[in-house]
Amino acid sequence: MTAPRRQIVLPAELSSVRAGRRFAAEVLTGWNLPQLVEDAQLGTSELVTNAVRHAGTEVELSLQLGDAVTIEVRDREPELPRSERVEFDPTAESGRGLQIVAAICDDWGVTAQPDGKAVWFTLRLPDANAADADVLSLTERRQDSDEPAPPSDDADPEGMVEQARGTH
Amino acid sequence: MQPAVVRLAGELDASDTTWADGIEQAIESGQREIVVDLLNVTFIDSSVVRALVLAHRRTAGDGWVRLVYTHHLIRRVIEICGLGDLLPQFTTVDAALRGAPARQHPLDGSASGAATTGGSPS
Repeated sequence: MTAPRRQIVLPAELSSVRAGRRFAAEVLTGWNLPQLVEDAQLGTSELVTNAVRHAGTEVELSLQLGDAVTIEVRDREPELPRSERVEFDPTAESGRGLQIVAAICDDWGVTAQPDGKAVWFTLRLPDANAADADVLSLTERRQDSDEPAPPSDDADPEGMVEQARGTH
Repeated sequence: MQPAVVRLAGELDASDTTWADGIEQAIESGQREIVVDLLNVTFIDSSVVRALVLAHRRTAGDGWVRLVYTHHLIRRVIEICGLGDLLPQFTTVDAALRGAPARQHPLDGSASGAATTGGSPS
């Protein structure tokens, strides 16, 4: 069995950033993984931006579904991104793109390719992989164990977060 | 001079950076107090963070840049980039214009070092 894989080739222009983000959302929605769309869009946006800006070549964006979702952006520029620029300095002008990628993903890296490089990141699959399964497993837990109820979301005693949500 | 309110909407990224024009124009016209209203923005990436930091730098000293938003994605990006303390954040434009420290962004878990004087409920 081959892992599902979808890919798209995007031109070397900044409009590819939005196109790539849309593609990632569409693929993940098709795989019934809407929970991963936001992180995938954040990471894809940064990697496609970097590829178009710094490599300036056409870009191949792919998503592969296995034990995790791997999202990869390939360009045809062999020079690797300079990781020393990824530093935690809020006023730095660059390096934030990879900082965002590193923050949202499970793992990420860069692999050299014969004709360029691939920058990739992985997103862990949501537990039980579907809302229905989540509900089922919760029900099962309640039935067959004495374990205390899972902590509620009430970590915010003042309800500030709820208030903020309420302003939507 | 009244503070400028720059309203942005939609998905903001490097694809089309015309969203940055309003901020640029405000600064060019001499504004040093700028509220950036992101209430209708549904996506930002590091290109937006970069523009906001630049605006902050250009106004720092004699002014400020304040953000207004409620979308959790914006909060996440701002936190990841470590800008929580650099750019004051609010949930309404009115609160941002007042700059009332008691009304700093409710998603801001950190204690704002801002003065708590005069925090009369209105």
